[in-house]
Amino acid sequence: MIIYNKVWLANLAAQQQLRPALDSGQMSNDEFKSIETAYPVGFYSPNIFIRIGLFILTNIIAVFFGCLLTYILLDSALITSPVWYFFLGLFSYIALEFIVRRKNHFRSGADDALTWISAGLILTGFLIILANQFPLYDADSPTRLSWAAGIVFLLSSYYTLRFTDSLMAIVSFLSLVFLIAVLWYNSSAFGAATLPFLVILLSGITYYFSLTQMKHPGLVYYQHCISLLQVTSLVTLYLSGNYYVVQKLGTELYGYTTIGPYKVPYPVFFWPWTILVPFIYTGAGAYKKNVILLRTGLILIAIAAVTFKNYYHVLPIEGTLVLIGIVTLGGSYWLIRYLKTPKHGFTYEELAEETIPGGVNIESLIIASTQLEDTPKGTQSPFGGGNFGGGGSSSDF
Amino acid sequence: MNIDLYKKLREEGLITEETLKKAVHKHNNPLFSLHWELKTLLYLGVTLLSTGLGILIYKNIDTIGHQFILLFIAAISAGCFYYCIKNRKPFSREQVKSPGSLYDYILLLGCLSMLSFLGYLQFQYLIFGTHYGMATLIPMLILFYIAYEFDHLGVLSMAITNLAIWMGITVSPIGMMTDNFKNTTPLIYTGLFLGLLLLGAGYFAERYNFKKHFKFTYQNFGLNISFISLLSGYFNDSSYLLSYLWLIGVAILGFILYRNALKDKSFYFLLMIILYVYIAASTFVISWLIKMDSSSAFVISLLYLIGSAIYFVTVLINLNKKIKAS
Repeated sequence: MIIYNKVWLANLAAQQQLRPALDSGQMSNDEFKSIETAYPVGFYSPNIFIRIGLFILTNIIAVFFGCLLTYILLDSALITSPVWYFFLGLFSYIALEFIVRRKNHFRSGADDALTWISAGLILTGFLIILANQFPLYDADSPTRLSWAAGIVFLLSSYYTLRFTDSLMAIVSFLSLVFLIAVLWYNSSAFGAATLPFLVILLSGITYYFSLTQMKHPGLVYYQHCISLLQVTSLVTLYLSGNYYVVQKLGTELYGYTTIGPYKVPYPVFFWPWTILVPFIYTGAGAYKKNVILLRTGLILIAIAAVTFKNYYHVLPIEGTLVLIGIVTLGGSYWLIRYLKTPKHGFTYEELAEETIPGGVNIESLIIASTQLEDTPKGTQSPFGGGNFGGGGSSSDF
Repeated sequence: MNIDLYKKLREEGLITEETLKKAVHKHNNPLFSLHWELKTLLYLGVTLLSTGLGILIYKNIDTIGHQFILLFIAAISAGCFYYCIKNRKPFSREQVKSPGSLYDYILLLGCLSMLSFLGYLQFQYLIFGTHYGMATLIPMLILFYIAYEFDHLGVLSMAITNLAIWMGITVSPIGMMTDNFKNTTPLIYTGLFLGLLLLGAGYFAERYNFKKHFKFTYQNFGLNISFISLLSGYFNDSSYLLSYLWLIGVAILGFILYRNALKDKSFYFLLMIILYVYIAASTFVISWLIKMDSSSAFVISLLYLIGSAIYFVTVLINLNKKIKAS
């Protein structure tokens, strides 16, 4: 099923496992070179910048080639029928198979672009068929939604299996959950009332199996898909019980009923879930030394804080920011000092320096594009409300 | 860590006994690094704190408590600088490796709160009077000084942004894209001047071996600002002869920077240069074809876009090979 050369995939995985040892100086360069020659990888996988460039250019080629073909056939009836989209989709799919099989592209940017273009075009074809098939239903009617979700699920599963694409794996998971949720919700009143619990259950099952079955021999080429699946299922597991999400979704589905606006049922359950689950993730991640669990938990703590802030205004915003800022800074300062000599298997030291080829200082790029984003622009007073910059908006002088 | 893999490699004679031993040792005493988590938290803390202080000032600017706030911010800033001076390494023309990321972020916090402090002083007490140029020049000079003295790339980025503010533009690599295309000509000239100035600063940093590693930051700002200024100049100008001058500018600048990036083996700059030049060239060709206003011109422009994109794909692939081989 997998399109790629499996020996190369296995060699690539082995090399990636040894890379940290090389970066931390445990293994000499000569040793790594001899391993590279003994376990060769013949894929064409350029660095991230070339990949971005190829991605953009492949999109340009595909879009305008599609325009050209459509323009040539502008007068025929063909281009209004779904067949046309299938044709274009299959055309780009064949191009994708060609560059992967013959040119050995592997995450080169060109194959990424063609994957999404072909999948999108084929999906569009199906959606048009669907619209023709059920002309009496709205686009968001349960029948059409479940059909569409089913098609997305099948398509993305195929791409996941054939190209081991991790984003497609996420799309596949989410569409499956969506499909089951739509069917469940419309099945009965009981189904409608227990929707969040269903999603929690589905995500929990998915996470459990993706965690325990990771070492399964059949999944050996899908390791990164499984990792991302773990992250996604953890996030959906949390979000489906998040108070804000439940309330928003409830209002969306029920709106104002005869007994007033929608109220979240069982706040006894949803509030503790909203607050506690991220901490459980983080704690379990630290206890089990599981990076995925730990990082997901840390991000979700922030989301939990925002959710809480949305309902209870304990402090004005600036006080909250200053307070959280001081606590975060102080806490991490303390932890860094505490971990100066490794304790309980934890360390602050960087085990292997992560670098991108091309010699870019990632940190300076991030600081340059985020930290300075909120320089004040055109506020009423020339020096109002700036964190830095000594005020100053271009338009005022 | 997969210890069987190491054992297999050892049997095949690809790694030495010592490497295997090290791997086994590491396998038996696993260490879990919290480096990136803590770094992110530090960054988050600095951002939240400085944003919070900014809003605090903004809301309390004419209440009684403002002297207290001023004192509070000054204390934070002074504390940060005290910590940095105590822990710093001596100045050097070369790159000075920072004592740790904690130091980096505390310096960043010190600079941010210093800027808030100065901005507040200016607003409340007009310490620079109505010389708004002065009010932005002073912080900028201080930031440049700190960036060089303490060897901090983040502060250098802030200093460059302040330089741009002083020259009349608010820039950040992304903000520039969204705002500046609709701005008018005088700003374009300022932008072009600023961009070339920064490129020059990057060039001289390397040439005279004075903080050589600052070159990337200078060049990153300089390249984006210059190309965006040249392109907006081209898009804005209505007189045809002048607009070609802008295009010639793009070509010359692209060529010089391309040679430079090839020398530095920087894929990032190569990609940026190729994309900017491609945008300029395509706009030129397409605008000519649109003027012809015929259906064949439409087909030709489609063919041009497809052909040129294919051409640039091969250019990128070949460049990759060339740099890898050298």
